[in-house]
Amino acid sequence: MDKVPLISLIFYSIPECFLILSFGLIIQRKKVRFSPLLLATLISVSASYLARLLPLPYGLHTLIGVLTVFLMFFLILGLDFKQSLVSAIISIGTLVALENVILNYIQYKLGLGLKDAMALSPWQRTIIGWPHLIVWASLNLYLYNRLKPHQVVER
Amino acid sequence: MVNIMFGSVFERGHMNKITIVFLSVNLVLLIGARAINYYSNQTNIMDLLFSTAIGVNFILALFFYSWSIRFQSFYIESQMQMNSIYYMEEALNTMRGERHEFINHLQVMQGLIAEGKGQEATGYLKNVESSTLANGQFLNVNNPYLRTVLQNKKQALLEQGIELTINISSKLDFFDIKPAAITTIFTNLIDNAAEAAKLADNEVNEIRFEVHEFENCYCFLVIDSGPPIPQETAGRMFESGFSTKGDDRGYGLSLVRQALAECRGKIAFDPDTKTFNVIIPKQMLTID
Repeated sequence: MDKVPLISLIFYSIPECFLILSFGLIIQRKKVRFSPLLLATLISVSASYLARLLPLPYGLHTLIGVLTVFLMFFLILGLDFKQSLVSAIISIGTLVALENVILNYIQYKLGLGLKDAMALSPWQRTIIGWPHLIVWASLNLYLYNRLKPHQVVER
Repeated sequence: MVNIMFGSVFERGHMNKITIVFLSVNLVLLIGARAINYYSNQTNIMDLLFSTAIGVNFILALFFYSWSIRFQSFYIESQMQMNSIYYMEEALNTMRGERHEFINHLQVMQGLIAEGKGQEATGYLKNVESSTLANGQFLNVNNPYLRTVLQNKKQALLEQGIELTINISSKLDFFDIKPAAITTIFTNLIDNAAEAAKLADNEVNEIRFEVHEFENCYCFLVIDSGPPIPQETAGRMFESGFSTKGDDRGYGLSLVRQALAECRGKIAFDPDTKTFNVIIPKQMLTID
């Protein structure tokens, strides 16, 4: 069980979830619309917050997160079943891959375990996750500019 | 070679499934690495190397995914190019045949004119004009499968004393359904119409095949000169196994409806005009 502090929820979880969902849309070359994206982000963050309150072993809430994100893509953001599945796997996978590389490096440099990092003060816990979020946001922005959304045209 | 190696894999969508499974396994590995990191007291160099390796592995999996999508696009593009070459070759063959026919007609005309039979030459020319118009309409159809079905049916029906009149007011540029579906839909409808036409006591048995283009769909009409169909039969004709012609029959229209359902098409029968009305949506393509 992990009760996420409000500061982390606002300054880490919401941007993280926003990036997960927008990344999924960008790689599928779908137009990123702010309102449905924000709605899906808020629902997904709430679901993730509640999942973390459950007495589950670490890692299982990430799998619940994959399911939630898949449902958001499928039900709110208008992707079809296969696109939602691929986007959910790639988005969460990219996030965890960046955490594994960047966050682990920071933890290694600071001599902290993941449990220690989560037990830091709310602000420290939030800030320690920003570097990989900044890298991911930059990647999102780069791909957003590079992969233009598909248009439907007549042949 | 590429087609032999990857054709069936791409066509059946196996590549997508393999890639999704591959990415899922990588995701589970990533989460596993995070969980190991969570339960170890302090992040050491081995943890860092392990989780970095898993992260890099996932990035490589993404590159593989991207590569497979590009390869799939390349494969589809090459298939489209091969199809378009096939269409062009087929159109060229039709034109060669037409040219050969024209030379024959010209020779006959030349003979008639040389003999001073002007009236006969005019009559012959009108006859040539009507048959050329029908062939010209076939050439207008961009879909080779539909063109072949119509050409074959026209010839077969002529041998049975039934005239197939074709009126196509569209090039069918956005008509891109499976070839097997084209055969199922139009062969069954024309065969049905031919059987109905034969039942009538007409001097000339006729089937009309019309194609009309609308903003989002194509409308195909098959009209025969057969006797009227009772209301009760018309209401049940799409049921599988229902036939007024005997046992082990009555599957054609049911198959037509099934083939149409696969391409989001619809079929309706108007008993007053004896018209089968087939609606098939235009196929749209997404581009960058």
